[in-house]
Amino acid sequence: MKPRSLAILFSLLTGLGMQARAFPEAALPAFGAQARQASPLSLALEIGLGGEAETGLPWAIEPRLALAASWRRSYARLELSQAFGELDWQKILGYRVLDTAGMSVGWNADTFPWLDLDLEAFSRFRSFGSAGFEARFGGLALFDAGTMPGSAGFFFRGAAGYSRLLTRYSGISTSQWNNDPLARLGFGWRDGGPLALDFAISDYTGSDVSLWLKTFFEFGAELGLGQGDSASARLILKYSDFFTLTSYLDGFALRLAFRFPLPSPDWSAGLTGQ
Amino acid sequence: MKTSRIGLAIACAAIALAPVSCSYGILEAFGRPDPAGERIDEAGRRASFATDKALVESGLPPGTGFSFIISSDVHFGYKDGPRKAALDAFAQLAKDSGAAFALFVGDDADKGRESEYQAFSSFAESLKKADDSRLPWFSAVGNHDLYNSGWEWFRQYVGPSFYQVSAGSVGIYVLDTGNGTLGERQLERLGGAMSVDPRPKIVLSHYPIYGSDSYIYYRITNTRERIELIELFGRTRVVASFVGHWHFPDFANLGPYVERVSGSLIDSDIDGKAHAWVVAVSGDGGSVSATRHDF
Repeated sequence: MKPRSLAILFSLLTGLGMQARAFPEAALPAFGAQARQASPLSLALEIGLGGEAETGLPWAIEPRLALAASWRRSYARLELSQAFGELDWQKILGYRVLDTAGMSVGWNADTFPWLDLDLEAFSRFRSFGSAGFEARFGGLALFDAGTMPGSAGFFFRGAAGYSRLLTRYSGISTSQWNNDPLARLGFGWRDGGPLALDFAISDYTGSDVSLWLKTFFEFGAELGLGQGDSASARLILKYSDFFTLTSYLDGFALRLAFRFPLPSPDWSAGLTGQ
Repeated sequence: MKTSRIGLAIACAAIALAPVSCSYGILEAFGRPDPAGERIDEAGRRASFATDKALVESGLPPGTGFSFIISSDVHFGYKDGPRKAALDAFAQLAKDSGAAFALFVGDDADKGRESEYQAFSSFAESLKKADDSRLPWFSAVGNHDLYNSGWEWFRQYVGPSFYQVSAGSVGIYVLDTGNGTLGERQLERLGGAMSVDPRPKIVLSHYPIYGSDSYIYYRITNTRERIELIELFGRTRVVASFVGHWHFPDFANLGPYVERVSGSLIDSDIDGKAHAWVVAVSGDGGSVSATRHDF
């Protein structure tokens, strides 16, 4: 192998990260994997390519348990991301035609020691085959405040934004514009512990949320196959629920996230051995 | 330290769950994969109405023009319940209008309890035609009907949740949106049935499907489902749809058909009145006109 090829190979190996997730949403479990690759060509571009497939065991308190294997929610996903934004395309396989694509651009103002501010503009497109499509446009400001960045301790986090949704139906002559405010308020520990808690009044359009709680567990593992800071391993456990204050769908969401760092692997030992 | 954080997390979760009112049933607090699909399978043969011979017959032969009376959200069991004067006015309107039958678009009960269904059933069975004979009635299922495992009583006192009524030249399709979604099983069966049915159609759904600006919050939230339903209605000769959940009458003209909010038979918070529509359907089923009545 020529030296240039060796250099690219080394770059590929050191920049590669993998993510595996299992997220039972009324069905256990769904498995997914995604590989992310930092560009070896100094484009500061990260490429993600992945797919997920679901098989499951529907769960509930009352109804009988029944094993129900389903591959209907498998999908292919392609992501391109840079520090200031990302593009993605996703195709859900096996259920009619449902393609989604999105893009976002962001800006971070890390000006104040007690405030971490991010601004983001986003758009998202979904095609429902010949039945119709929707396009969402919006913006979001996110902030973390209350503690010195990097130090252990309590912090508040919040987000506020606005989005407009255009829905076009093929069967009728009317297009619909909806305006959705977005808001989120939470608190948690940064560096000092694994707990993060969010309350959100968020955009619920497009989610298949039943009237009461919609329990959502996510179990994941992240592995960074790099050296130094990019070498990492951690387990993530998330619990989310939509709940109601009024017995109607409020769009309130509660999320608890536990992150368990594992000892960072030393991948360089393996590479040196080559 | 770790123990205290876990304790804090559990406490926060408990506080978050506390607002879920126990009067509506804690078992309804957990999501299920396809609750409407479970109900339509349990309800038996009427659920597969695409091929079933035993559709609900109104006794009105094809080519007959007819009218019916429709309202929604009666909420028996909510505080003092619907006003007696409003129920009496509805019954009188049903008789005076020459309605062939009455339709209710869900939330017949407030907390899904048997006593509430008994009250609703008693009221519905008391309705009379102009000739003083019994007025047939049909109902869609609403979210309140399902609280406290109310599906058991809905089946017993009201009937199935997903079915079709043949009346004159039209097919009236009653959907199960009690959980705010049809689910894939129901959507698939509905699409199959409507696609092979050439007649004009009227649709009943507790949750609004299109949902105009004033009641977006109350409509079906699954965009994919809404888009597929509206596209299906647009190409299979749906001439009118009636929805509930939102208590104030409204309508959205979508071109091929009009989505009308029936309005509640319990007093609406908006105007303090009860509401109903008298709907006239032409002999060929292609023309539907509706007149609003407030009590």
